[in-house]
Amino acid sequence: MALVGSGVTTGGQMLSRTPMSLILAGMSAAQPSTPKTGPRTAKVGSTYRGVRVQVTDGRSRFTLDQIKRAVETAVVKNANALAGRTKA
Amino acid sequence: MRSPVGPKPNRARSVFINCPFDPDYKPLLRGACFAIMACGYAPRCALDYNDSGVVRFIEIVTMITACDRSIHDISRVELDRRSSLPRFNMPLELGADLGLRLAGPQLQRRRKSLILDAEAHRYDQTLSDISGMDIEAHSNDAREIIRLVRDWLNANREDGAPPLPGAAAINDDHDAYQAIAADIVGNLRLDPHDDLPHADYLHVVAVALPLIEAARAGAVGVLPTR
Repeated sequence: MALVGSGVTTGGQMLSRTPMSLILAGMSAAQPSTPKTGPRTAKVGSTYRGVRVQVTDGRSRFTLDQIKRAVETAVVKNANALAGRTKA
Repeated sequence: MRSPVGPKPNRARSVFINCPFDPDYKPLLRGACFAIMACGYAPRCALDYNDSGVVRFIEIVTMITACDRSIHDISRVELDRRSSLPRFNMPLELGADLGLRLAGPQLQRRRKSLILDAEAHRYDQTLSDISGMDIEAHSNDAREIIRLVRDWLNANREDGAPPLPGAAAINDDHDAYQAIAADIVGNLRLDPHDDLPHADYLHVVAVALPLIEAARAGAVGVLPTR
């Protein structure tokens, strides 16, 4: 089985299907700093419906890799239900 | 890969939450945090220090001053079940916030605050001095608190910023998150979702938001290998 997905949007337009690993890799990349009024911005984040998700500075018991894997697996497992193709 | 601990979000993107930390309130707190993150802001609260939320007042005030926006829930007016006494922590922290806004340093006078209660106009009896401020009733409904938080952040977004995602979309994505939360927790080999510690919950939501958006758009799937 191969995982595919695309959460990458630009200006509200969905791009072509992208391997999930590339989406997740992009979430670790440095983001352009949007807020201009503060001294520091979160460097880890991603985009949700056109807004950049801020990352908390609270300490987690898990690595980012563990969390990404856990979420990715759950999303893919429930992909049909989330897309409304089947009942959740 | 390193633990997902980033730098402190900047002041303009931070929202302080002053609310109860009891189990009954947890769905509302989690809904508020979900909405805040979906709108591109970072929720901050006493649970950032420890899971009990018991911290010194000086630390609370320090956290308030590090956030341009605050949400205060004054809905817990009932007497504590064990002590049969009221709890005053939430009104105290609201007072600290309002004091900063009204008479604090210039930097703090641009503060924006949302005051929440469970019932409309109940504050007329419990805290009448705040009459005339922005006070909304959430009816102890997580969907309603998501809508109120989103609408307030949208109304107070930076000049020129585009509108935030709609409340209906965020609520639907929150429902989607709830539907897969048990699987996420299971994949992390944790206890049921209600026991996911606050900091872990925030990190999970930060990762889940864009993936849920993609999945709901039908852009995530499982293809058979050749």
